[in-house]
Amino acid sequence: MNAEPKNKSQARPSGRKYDTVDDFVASEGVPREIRDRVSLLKNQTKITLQLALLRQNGGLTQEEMAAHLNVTQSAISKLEAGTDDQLRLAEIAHYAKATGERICLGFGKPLNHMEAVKLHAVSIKRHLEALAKLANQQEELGIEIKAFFGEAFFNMLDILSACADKLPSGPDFDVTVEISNRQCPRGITETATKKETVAA
Amino acid sequence: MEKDKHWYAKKRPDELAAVMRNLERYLAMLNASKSAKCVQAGYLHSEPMGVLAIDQKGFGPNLRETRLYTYAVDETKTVHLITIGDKDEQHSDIEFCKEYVGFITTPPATTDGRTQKEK
Repeated sequence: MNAEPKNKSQARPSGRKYDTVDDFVASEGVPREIRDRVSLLKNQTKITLQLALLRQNGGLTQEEMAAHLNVTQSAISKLEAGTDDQLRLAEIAHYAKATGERICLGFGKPLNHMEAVKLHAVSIKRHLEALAKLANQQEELGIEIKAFFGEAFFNMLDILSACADKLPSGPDFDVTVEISNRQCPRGITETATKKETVAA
Repeated sequence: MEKDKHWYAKKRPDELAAVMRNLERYLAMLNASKSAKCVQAGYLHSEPMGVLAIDQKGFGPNLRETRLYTYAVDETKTVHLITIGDKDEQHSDIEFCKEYVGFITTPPATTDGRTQKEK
């Protein structure tokens, strides 16, 4: 973004550049009340913006989306430019169907980071169990699933290790993860013992 | 945009906030598209010379008609914020934008005063 001073006799760039609107309003002396108001509007238009992005990324024009929803183009324009409280669930469902995308609706209290990690872990377990079941039913698919298990196993360790590296170092306690043949998921042929030290 | 921005912040804070939020929405859509021409939204208006005006729509009927004039350069991924104004100033604002875009899109003059194009 390039912020320009208005001067009717000289329409020239100011040379001041910003990466985001937040940076722009903060650096250009826009009062705090206005910045707070922009944040409020941001929270009121998160879903409508996502719907507009979904349509655009799906390569659909507003006219084409209107045809899917059996409404006029101006209705789509109003919906996408409006606030989230004006939306109906049916409209969200139509956007998902028209673009072939998945839209999730979540219920429950907001999660903190630890709760979110636990929730994802439970979800990962559920999917892995479903895959294991599938592997037992279809032999050919089983080979691919075994390979996937191996890949997922090391990827998860890698993520954990990389994130643990960002923790402050200290003598509090160290967790050592030792992977041996016995602990590797079936089908993994890398039998060398790998050690990961996770500092917490 | 200097004087106008402060005037709007004082006299029309709701309009300025609405336009800023729509600018954010426009940038999000622009970042996800190949070209500024592909972005379609109810708060955008095409003006001459590729200028795009962002209005205050979407945040209630009581806001005064306000337009933030912008010019996007796909190659450098830059959006120029040229000026902001209301309906009454529309004509002079567009003339100002045309002059601005003319300046930034004209190749710099060489030592003999002619542009590379003219040669």
